[in-house]
Amino acid sequence: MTVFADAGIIQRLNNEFVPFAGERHEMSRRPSAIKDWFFPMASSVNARLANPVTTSQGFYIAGADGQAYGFYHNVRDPQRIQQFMNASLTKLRASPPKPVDIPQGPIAGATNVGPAPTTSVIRVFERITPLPAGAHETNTRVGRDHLWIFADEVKAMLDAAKGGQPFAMPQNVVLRIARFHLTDNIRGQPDRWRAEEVKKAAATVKPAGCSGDRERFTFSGEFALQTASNARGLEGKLDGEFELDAKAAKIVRFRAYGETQAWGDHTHARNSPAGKFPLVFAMVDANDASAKAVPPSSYYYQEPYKDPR
Amino acid sequence: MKRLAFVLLIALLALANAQTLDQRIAGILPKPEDERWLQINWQSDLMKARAEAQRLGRPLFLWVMDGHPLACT
Repeated sequence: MTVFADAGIIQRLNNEFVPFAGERHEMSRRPSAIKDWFFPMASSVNARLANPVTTSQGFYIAGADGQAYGFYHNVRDPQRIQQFMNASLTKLRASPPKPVDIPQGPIAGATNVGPAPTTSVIRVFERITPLPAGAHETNTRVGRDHLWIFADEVKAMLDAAKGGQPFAMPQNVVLRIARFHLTDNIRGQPDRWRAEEVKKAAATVKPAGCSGDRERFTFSGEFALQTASNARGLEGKLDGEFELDAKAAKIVRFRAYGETQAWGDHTHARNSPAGKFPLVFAMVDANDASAKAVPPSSYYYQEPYKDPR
Repeated sequence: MKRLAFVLLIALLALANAQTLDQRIAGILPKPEDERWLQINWQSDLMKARAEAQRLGRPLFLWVMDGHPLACT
């Protein structure tokens, strides 16, 4: 992230380029018009894509017509990014993009679809804190994701609250949080929990008052997740509060905090701290542009997100 | 009177808990310096971005990652 915090890079990206951010499975794996455009372009500058298991992660500079002008990977030095931009622009001037027809509208096969207007979006953040002594630098990062809660689940909670008594959070919501969001997403994409790795996932919701169409709740949950070999696991609790708009069947405010102990590496995210380490979570409602455009990470991995049982 | 004091106590405890929850959350949220990358006008629709690049006569700068960079990194 360092390179995009640089004022010079921000200024140039906004004024000399059209900056685009995409998920690599969608860009280079799944059949769609996105891959049809991206993969040939990327392959022309990233020789590693000849190997089918190689990732297409990195930075590319290209014309709208698909001419590639440069590729860089894993660059965290703003000066090198400036050089990369300059070299790519020189190539562009020598061979400018040609005008092409660019179809607009929904793309068949695209995964990068935003939430339905009826879906509530919660932004999930996580950190390892306090950071254990000697932990690898990558453990200082912030993990992020989007949690979706669907209208039928909000309606189920509104119905359950009618008696005014505490009730169990809908199982799909609890399992979705457990399997796809209580993951160690600090150093890169984690392995999500399989259904059989969920040892405990339960949350109790308590009505906490209402005002007009708004109903408030608190909740408290306990979770335990563990691989068969116990090489990787997580256990802890998640507490929070939320407010529902009964008419819209949507969450209008959501705040949660989770304290867990986690352990173990992931297939593509290694260098976790030794032994058990404190992994903490914050979840807050989100309604900005990326909340409306980018699905939960599990969507890209085609996990059973809506029904995780 | 006792009942009123009890209700007030419950309300104060609830308020204290709410502050604690917000404070705890604040400790995890990214700091402003962690969010500078959001000052960049990132687009997430490739075809719209291509159309804009063509209209403006600019190249695309594509950031591709495992997990969507705008939400999952």
